[in-house]
Amino acid sequence: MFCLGIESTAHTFACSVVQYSFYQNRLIGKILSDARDIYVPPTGSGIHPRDASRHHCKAVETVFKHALCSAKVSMRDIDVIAYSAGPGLGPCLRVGAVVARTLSAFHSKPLVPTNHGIGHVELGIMISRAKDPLVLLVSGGHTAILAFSGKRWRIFGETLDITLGQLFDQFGRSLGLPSPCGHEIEQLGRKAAGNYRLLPYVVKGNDVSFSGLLTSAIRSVHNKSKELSLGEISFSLQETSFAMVTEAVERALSLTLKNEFLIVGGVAANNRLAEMLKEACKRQKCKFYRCPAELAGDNGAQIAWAGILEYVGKGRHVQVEKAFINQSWRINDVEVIRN
Amino acid sequence: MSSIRKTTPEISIKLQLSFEKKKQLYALLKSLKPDNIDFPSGLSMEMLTDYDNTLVIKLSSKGGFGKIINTVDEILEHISIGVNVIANA
Amino acid sequence: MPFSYSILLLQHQRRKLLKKGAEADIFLTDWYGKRAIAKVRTVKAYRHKSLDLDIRRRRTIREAQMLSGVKPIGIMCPHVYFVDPISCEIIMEFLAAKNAKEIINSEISSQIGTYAGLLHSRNIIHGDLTTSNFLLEDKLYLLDFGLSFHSDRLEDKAVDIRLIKETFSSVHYPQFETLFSGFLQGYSTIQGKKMVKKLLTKVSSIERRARYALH
Repeated sequence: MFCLGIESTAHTFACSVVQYSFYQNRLIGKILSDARDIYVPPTGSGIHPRDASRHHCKAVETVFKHALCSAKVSMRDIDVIAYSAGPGLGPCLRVGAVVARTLSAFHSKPLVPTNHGIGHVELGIMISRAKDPLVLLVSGGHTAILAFSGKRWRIFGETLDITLGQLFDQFGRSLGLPSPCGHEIEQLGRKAAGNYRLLPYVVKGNDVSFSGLLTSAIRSVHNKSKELSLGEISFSLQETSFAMVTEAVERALSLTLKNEFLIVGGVAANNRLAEMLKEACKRQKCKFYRCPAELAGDNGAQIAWAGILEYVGKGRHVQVEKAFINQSWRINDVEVIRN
Repeated sequence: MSSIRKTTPEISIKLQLSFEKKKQLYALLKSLKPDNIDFPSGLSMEMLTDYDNTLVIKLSSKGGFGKIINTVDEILEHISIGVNVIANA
Repeated sequence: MPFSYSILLLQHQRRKLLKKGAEADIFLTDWYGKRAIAKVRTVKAYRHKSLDLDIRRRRTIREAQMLSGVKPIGIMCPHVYFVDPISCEIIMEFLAAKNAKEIINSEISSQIGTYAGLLHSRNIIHGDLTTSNFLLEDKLYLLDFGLSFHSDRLEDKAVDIRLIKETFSSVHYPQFETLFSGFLQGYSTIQGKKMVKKLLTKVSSIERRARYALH
């Protein structure tokens, strides 16, 4: 059986076909295709929702076709359609929703609205085969520590203001780097590795706060003397923010006593963060899992897989006219059936 | 200096799209409906079908040009992507 | 060798590791024949050296100050016997008590609320209000002041409350309603219902901020 997943919450418009079946009473999935087109805002500016949505509209035809062709399926073979219903930017969400609804109505296929954050989490679990991990979701849209209990992914810690992805993006934009900036900052920082400068480190229990750190880092760039290079500030920014997140994770591990840990979301691709978390897991005697870099960023497969779990696990799907979008759909508001 | 009272005209736009097949028309109509909510004040929209496979969209604005331009822009974009994906499927 | 180090060496030989907490290692030790706890903020290898030392030292000193400083307010805490900011350890009273996380109910959460109210009335922010930082012997004891600080800002008090709310809704989710309302009831006996209302509004706005907002 096949599921078509459509992702369009922010920068990325993506489609993917995931094949699913039962094996020994368990649902298993296989990613057959992964097509994406990413909107890049003008250098120095953040994502403008309407511009991004225009980009997505132009990309729909190619990405959709590519997803079906690479998977060697046609709409006739698709059994269910899943789309990212939130959280995200309204104009962007509407693009994916319209595509999904139209396909569902025209081809009479069941339609499943899925939560983008849950997509990251469940895809990570599917690939890593972790059974009951503590999960760190770090991306442009999320920075949250989650654990599953009582039918929900519950939040054990999160950011009190901006996300890790936003921290790097906004810092990078102030340097005139093109968004998304995470990778560039990682490279800059690597060149200056070892030269650390104390920046605001704010952990509040299991939560973190990055706004003070961002302000201080940007101020350091404007005030920098010859001795303090961009590389050093980038390095310090990374070290500080990653240490904060790692500490919050350690606290959550100690609280929940989970013996598995999984990192998902776009920032999971950062090697330094993964290195720090691995070290923390060693101390807490916990297995470390990480979503592979190529599937860490927003993609259609996460939506397809989350949709499959909804549809097969709960038989849940919606009428096209009721296929909603929700810009601020919280991950802990969703009732989930675990595999 | 006398104060100049700014008067914006009442704007009405009627979009008419003729489809080859009823199936296409109804698929598009269903897919646009869920987003026809939370209109800014002064803006209203109505979607109806005609006998000969025509989708009629009527918009009217008493609140100026900006919102109605954005709305029409987005609706037409949505219709175009909807048409594209079912044409290629 | 300095006096403090010779004492610590003696202590070190008689130590038994009780727990590797998130932040510190907790040892059972003795202090002049009395059973005691040694809380050692160990080096975190994943943090840069200078950041790590700064954090560990600052928190050790802060915690020691607060553990002594909050008693006059009416907050029960373990008694501090010895502080060493070089090795970042605190030797304190051993309490044969149960962790509130294991036995939580609305009565205990109400007492937790009272403690939070008392701290906030003196503009002290605990910074890590979770049920695992409370012990219950015959009385309720509060631990772990490493993240605490002084502030009169409503926002900081709201963050404190948000954390205990987060704990109730995650670790103790089946009892969330009774526990949180118990907490607020206890808090209001010190700070009043008006303050509670103000704080809850602030907590909601903080929660909304944490939602998806790309710009």
